[in-house]
Amino acid sequence: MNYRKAARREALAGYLLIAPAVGLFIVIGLFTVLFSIVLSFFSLPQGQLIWNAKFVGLDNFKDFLSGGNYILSGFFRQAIVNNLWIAFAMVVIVIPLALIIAVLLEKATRGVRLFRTIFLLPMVTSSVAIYYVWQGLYDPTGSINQLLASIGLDSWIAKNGWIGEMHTALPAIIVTIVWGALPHSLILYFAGLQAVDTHLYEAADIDGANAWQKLVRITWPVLKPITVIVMIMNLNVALQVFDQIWVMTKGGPAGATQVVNVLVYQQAFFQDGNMGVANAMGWTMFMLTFILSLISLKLFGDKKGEESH
Amino acid sequence: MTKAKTGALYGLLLLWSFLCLYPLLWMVGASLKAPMDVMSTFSLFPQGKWHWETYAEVWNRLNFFSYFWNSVIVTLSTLIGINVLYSMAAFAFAKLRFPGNNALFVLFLGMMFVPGITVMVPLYLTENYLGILNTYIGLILPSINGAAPMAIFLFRNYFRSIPHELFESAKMEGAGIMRTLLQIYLPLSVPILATLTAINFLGSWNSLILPMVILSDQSLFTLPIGVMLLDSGVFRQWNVLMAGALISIVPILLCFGFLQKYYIKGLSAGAVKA
Amino acid sequence: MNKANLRIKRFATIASLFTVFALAACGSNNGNNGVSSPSNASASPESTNEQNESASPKSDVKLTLSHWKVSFDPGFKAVAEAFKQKTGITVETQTTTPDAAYSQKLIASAAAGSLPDIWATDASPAYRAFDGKAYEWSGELSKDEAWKNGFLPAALSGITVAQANIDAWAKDEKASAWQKATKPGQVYGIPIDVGAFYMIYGNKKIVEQAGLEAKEPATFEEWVSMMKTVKEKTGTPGFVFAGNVGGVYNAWFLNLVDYMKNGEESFTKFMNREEKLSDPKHMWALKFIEDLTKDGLLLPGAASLDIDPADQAFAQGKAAFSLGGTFTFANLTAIGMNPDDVFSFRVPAFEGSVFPDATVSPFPLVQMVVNNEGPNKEAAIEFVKFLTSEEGQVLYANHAYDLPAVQIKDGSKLNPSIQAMASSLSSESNWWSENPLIWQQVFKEDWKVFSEGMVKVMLGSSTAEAAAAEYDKAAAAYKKANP
Repeated sequence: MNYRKAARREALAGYLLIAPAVGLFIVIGLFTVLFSIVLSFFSLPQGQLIWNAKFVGLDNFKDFLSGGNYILSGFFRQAIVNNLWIAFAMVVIVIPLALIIAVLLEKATRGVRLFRTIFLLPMVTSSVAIYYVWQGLYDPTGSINQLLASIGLDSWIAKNGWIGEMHTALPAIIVTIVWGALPHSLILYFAGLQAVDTHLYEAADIDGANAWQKLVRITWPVLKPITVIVMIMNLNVALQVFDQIWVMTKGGPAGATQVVNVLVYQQAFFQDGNMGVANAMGWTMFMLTFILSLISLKLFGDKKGEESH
Repeated sequence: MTKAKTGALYGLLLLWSFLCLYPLLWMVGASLKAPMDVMSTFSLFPQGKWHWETYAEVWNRLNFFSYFWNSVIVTLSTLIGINVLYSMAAFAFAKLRFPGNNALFVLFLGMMFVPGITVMVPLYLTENYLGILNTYIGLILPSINGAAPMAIFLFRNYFRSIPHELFESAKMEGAGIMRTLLQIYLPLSVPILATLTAINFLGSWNSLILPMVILSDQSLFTLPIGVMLLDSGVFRQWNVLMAGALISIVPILLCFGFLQKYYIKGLSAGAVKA
Repeated sequence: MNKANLRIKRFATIASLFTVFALAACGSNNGNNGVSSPSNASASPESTNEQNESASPKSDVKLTLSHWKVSFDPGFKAVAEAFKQKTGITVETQTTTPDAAYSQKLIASAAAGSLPDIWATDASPAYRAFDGKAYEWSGELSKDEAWKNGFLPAALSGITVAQANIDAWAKDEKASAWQKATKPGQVYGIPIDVGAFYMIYGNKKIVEQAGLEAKEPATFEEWVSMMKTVKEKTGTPGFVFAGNVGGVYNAWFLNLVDYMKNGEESFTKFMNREEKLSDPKHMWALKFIEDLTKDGLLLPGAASLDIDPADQAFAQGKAAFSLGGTFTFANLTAIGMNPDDVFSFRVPAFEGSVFPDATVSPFPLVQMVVNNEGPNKEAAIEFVKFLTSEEGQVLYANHAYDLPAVQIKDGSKLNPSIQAMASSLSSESNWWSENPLIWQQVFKEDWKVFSEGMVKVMLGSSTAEAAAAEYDKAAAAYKKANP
């Protein structure tokens, strides 16, 4: 008897404690998400009021995925290709670079704290403010062109600015994104490297192991789970990027830096757009991110019960 | 290590440090230059006069005082909300037994990957229906909710790592659940509070899309939008823009300076298990 | 986490089905959302017309007026000032720039039921009337004949719903039921200015420095050779325009020039996508850009310029010529350019054009829409009427550097430059003014592909032929989807 009453009181206390969080979640989180999913199956042209939305089933998806709307499909294809390029660049640049710098930092003996602070700055300052700085650096009259001119590489100068030329715009944006995203991966790798027990290295040395064996048997098992996380994080950043593009180029020139999230925003809030289509595109990206993350998990994740030695 | 290797090591580290610092220094330098000089001279800092008055102009005439204040209100409220709501919830998840405990916890974690931009439209319509559009609350609530996965995760882990005996002995002394949480667990959780503060201060302060969509009243604008406003219109004056930009990131730099250790902890949360 | 994610997804599917039903039920509730307070106005008391019979009348009424251009603001403020003297009613203006931000904000306010008392929009029949939230003026217009007749005919016809509009909306899937149910003759916005696109502005100083006379070139070809001479003699590029804003080249230049060159029939076929861009008759549109780029006559970076920065570049003397509308003049003087340094002319026609002398009848540019559901509707109507009286229009035009929508009997009240521009427009209607639906095709989706192609040509990463082919594909697809 007493036990049941106590259990019920405990349950009640539990529900009370989680009530505000769950309440907020249901209204702001869950409802919004479900609404958004549902809206992807409706057509709600820009400027129409919500109760004019028409149910169109999969038409929205067909519009931008399989050429139902030729023009929109073209724009979407361009955007998603850019997203994938950014993702590729981030995985191929951020991860190795973060690892290398982490290794260097770990080997350093002096000024580690200072370096760490400085290395975190790009991430900490990642906001509208710093994006404008990058825009200034990329300007036709900005620092990068000036530097090139001063060392005589005049032919390399971008006349329309580095984010104004068709073939340099996306790489330039990628540089900005990489610059801002690297610290997070760096810190994770650094923490991982520091967590490795140095005694293991000493023991391995005594056993006569060479550098490669030490790397594979001692360091990598610690780095592997970190790599999974880092990979998923960077993929997420690449596929969901918005702020940098919006502030720096808004997708220009001629769609060279267009990404899906910017397209979604334009569809949702600008003339000629369709809110239903915008939501549909957003959720398509989500599925893509989800699938790619799952793939990363499978490739790099630890299977349960795998021996580390 | 050989001298050469050490040299190379520090050389590379210094190179990367320079790359990390350059944009920031450029921002400071540009804000102090005369408008015409920003793009025409290569030197980081002004060669002639240092125009400190640009800051005053941005602060007063261009309304940055109000943007700053708005950012402060929103961020502070968000931080308080996060710490209160999710310490409570995580305590329940960690310590109390009730049906649905696990399922709900996992549900919260699953929220992490929700695409931000896509839910803006429904969020907007929902807030409109609730009448909280274009208000501080309209910004604060989604921000609090957005921090849920990490906050609950961190708190719950931390609470679980505290020996259960503490909970038992509190119960035996007749302390209610709330009192146990407030007087015992929370004071012990200062590291977590600091971590969450560090991480979420950054996220909330720099948030761009949410205020862009929710706010239409210029008097409520937060700093990121304020900086963007400096850019619109006929003239783009780099020095003014950079001065505004600098004002908007100074608080972050301060917060980062004081809470750096916790910030790093927050970044590595759950990634590196002891 | 995989199993958990699957569970979440299942949960989400069930919940979403539930939500659809819930939404359908909730839908009826939202209909009552119309009556809500406007956003910026401070609490206005119920008795709006409380006016004392004192010399300067007092009123607690505050009207909110939203618009999107910094250069309009002095105009609105001047009229608001005079209005307050007369009636005691305060009008607060709110500027939101750039255009896109204003658009977004307005749409958002409409959805939220928090529209201001008066909002400015581009002048077009029933545009931004938000399905009935806008006050309908035809009753007021027929009551006050004197006021109605003060307007330039083109100004009113540009914002009155016509049968042609209704027919177009009937076919448009994006048009709402409310739009389709409008009647000819209805008026949802009052024009406050008129203007025209198709203006080339020239920098007198630069042109004369190159040894040329600062006057209107006789043909398109002559204009290009002027630019070449300027580049040769002074090194300044010939032309700048907002390359980043697709509509500028398409709607302020291309369509009229093509119309003049090829005549009604061919132009109409082109707009209806029955003749291709790659057709030699129409290919000039991209060839011109390609040639400018190759000869270095285009300002570098023009591809990324928005309207205001492009005007700024011209005002700073970075290019000899710039593209704009009559309203650009206001922009230029606001930036600080000396009006005496500017000369302007209509976009030139090619040699051998079918209609080289097409005149542009002006059309209304900006209309004021009154919130039909606002608490201060009467006061708002009164203000708009004052704004469009001769007195109000003179005040507005002089302070906003804009052309009035109303006939000004005493021209000397206007600034000389405004007066000069006004007299250069025709007031009769012609084919162009009667067929906006044809030349407005350049605002359709496929023209976004054209603009992208144009930018690529400007940046040298595509040829005119390739870009034209791309556009033709998009046009064909658009035509198929929108017969």
